[in-house]
Amino acid sequence: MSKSMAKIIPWFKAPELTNGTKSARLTTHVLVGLALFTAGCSGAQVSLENQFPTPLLEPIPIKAGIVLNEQLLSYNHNEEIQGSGKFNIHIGSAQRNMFSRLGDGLFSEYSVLGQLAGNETVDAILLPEIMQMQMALPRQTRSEYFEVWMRYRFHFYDNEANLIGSWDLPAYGKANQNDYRGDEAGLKAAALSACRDAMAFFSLNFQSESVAARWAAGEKGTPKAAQETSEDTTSEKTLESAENSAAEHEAADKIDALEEQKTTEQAQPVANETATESATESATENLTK
Amino acid sequence: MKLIFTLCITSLLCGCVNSTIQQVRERETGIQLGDSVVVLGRSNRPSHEETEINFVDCVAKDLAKGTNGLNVVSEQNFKDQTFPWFEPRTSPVKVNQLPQLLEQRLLADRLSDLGIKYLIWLDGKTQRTSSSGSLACSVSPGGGGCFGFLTWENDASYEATIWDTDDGKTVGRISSDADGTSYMPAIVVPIPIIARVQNNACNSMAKQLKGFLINDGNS
Repeated sequence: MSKSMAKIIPWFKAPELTNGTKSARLTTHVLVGLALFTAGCSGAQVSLENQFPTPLLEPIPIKAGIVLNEQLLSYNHNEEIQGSGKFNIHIGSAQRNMFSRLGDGLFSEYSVLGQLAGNETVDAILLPEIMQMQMALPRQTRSEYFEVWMRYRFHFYDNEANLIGSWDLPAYGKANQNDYRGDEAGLKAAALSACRDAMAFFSLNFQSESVAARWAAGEKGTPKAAQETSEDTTSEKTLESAENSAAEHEAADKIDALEEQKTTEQAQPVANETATESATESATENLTK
Repeated sequence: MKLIFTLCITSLLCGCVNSTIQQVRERETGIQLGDSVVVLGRSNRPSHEETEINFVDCVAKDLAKGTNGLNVVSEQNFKDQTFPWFEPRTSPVKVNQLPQLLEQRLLADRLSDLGIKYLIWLDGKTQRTSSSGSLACSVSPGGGGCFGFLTWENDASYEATIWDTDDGKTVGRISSDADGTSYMPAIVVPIPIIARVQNNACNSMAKQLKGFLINDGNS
């Protein structure tokens, strides 16, 4: 019986079958302890499959086509932080639900398109893109919060896929480490908060943003239209206080500051945007211009 | 017998907590059949301070408990139902923003469907104000143990501001402060004697809030 058990669970039973029972047992306990200890420092894998709420707003009378391409849906943020391990946030998994909910609440009709192309069944086309994403752990910032910053760029096209303009939107989310157990839960909450922040900001400022308003009004783009990136998102905001616009700038500033810090300090962790490497490079160029 | 023993041990292992409750009433209150309340933690940007989720949950649960328990809509459900109006970036900071917010027809209808009579905003947090002592643990093949003494002091300070959704005015404020010292002596085995500061602040706050909203004359 003892031998058969030893075959089934050789790793646990083996030390008892040897002469150096105590030292072998101790080694096992130390290994188990080390494994448990290092498990807390081995990074985190975060995937967001959560459901998002539908914005409670009067829908804009437009048939919108929302392009959710592979680049967006597979967006992954990978980051290695010294002493903390490798972190992976699969934010792309949340995008389909996010934009479906936005479509439900914001537009009278919408359809999801797989790629950008002229489409006669819709009035206009919206193409969201994640330009940048950053994260911070409480031990990095010496605060109590997990933090996630994102920068979306929304491209507005007419139904012939001619660009009308683009709109940059920074989003920020945080989660108190005291409310969550472990890095994974904390980062997930912060990333979800950032997604909701992006949705809220997009919903409430959509009609006051000039590019979006022109798009919704049925303006036609031109094939060689210069990309109009609206940085001044503080204008004409409904119900948005000074504190809120300060928060928006704070989110943008934090992305910039973190980016700068990472490029100047060699000891800093290396961020690797696998899905949108080229997009991130162009975003960094825009930021430095 | 077992229960009494457990209660004795629990009471022995709980540190002392001092708590203070203060209330300011600005208007008359009352809860009718079908009225609900929601307890929301302050998390406005760009403030770096956020009220702990477990404190908000604790107050909400305590308000719903008992024979005179109130109808409490959970914070997450409320935020989802009213999205995007009560997110950190968009929620109203001052009561004078509420009437303008309620001009949104869909939002006003949703609040009416949920029966929300009062919005209770919780602000504050629990902080460790001091700590001292040391504790060392060691493990050897013959066994292990700890030796030392740790002590720390926590301070909980919260304020609830109650808004009436009917007239868009503040009806009152309740503050709950609690502080207490926890100890952990260790002679082989560490014995934690924890002062449940946050829990105490929560219970006091919820009790006072319930009396305030029902307007039972004792508050």
